[in-house]
Amino acid sequence: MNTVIRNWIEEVLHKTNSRTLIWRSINPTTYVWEVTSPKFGRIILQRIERIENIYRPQPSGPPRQSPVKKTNYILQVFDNPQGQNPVLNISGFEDADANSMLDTLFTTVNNIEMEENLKFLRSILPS
Amino acid sequence: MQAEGQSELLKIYEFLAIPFWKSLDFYLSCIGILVGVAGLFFSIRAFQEAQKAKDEAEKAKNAAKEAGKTVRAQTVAIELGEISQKLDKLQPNIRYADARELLIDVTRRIRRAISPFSEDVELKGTIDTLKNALDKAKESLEGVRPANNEREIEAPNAVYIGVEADFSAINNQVADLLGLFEKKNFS
Repeated sequence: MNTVIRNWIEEVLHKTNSRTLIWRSINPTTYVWEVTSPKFGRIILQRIERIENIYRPQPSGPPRQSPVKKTNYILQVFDNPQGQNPVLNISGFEDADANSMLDTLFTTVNNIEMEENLKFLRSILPS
Repeated sequence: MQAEGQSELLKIYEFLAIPFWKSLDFYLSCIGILVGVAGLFFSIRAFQEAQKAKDEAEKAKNAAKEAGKTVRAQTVAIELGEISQKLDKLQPNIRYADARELLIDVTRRIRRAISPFSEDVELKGTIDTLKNALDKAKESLEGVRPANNEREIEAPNAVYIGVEADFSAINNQVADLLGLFEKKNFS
C-alpha cells in the first residue's frame, strides 16, 4: 500500500476516534462519511464476508476442501454526489495490510455507533 | 348249485385272465395319461409365456419411466439456462429491493426445478452445494439491507459489492448442474 494512502487512513482513524469525523450507517455492513466543503467528498467503507474453499492437507490421502469464512473491506472515495466511479478504491482483497487497517477503522466506527445508540437509549429512559 | 358256482368262478377267471392291454380300460387309461401330460406341458408353456409377458411389461414400464425422466431433465436444463442468464445481468448499481426480488425469484425457480432430483446420486452433491450458495446469498443480502431507503443512493454500489460474489457462486453451481443434466440426456 502506498505510504501516502496509509498515512491518510491513519489520519482518518485518528479523527474518527476523536469524533471529528462522523460516519453514518447505510446498512449493517456499510458506513459513509461525507464532506461538502471546501470540496465535496464521500467516503464509503464496506465489509464483505465470503466463504472461500481452502485445501487443507490431511494426515492420509489427498488435501480436502474446507470452507473458511473471510472478512475483507473496501474503501471508496467519490468526488461528486452522483459519482458512480470512485476516485480512489482501496480493496482489502488485494492488500492484506490495507485490509487490516480498514478492519480497525470499521471496528472503531462500529463501536462509536453502538456507543451513540446506547447513549440515546439511556437518554430516553425516564429519570 | 355247485355247477352254477363253478360256472360263475370260471367266468370271473376268464375275465381276469384277459391281459390288461387288451381291455378297454387300458386304452382309456392311456388316453387319460396322454391328456394329463399334454395338460402339464401346456400349463408350463402358459406359465413361461405369462412370465415373459410380465418381463416385457416391466421393461416397457421402465423405458417409459426413463423417457419421462429425460423429458423432465431437459425441461429443468432449459429452466436453469434461463436462470443463469438472469444472474448474469446483475448490475453494479442494483438497488436492494431489486436484488431481493431477483434472489427470491431465482431461489424459488431453482428449488422447484431441482427438488425431484435431490436424491439422485449423480446430482446430489452439486444440488446441496447450490442450496448452500442460495442460503449464503440470502445472508449477504441481509448484510446490505439499507437502514433508510433514502440513504441507499449514497452508496450506489454497496448492494452489488455485498452480493456479487454469492450470486456468482450460485451461477457457477447452476452451470455445473446444467452440465450434469446435459450429460444425463446424452448418455
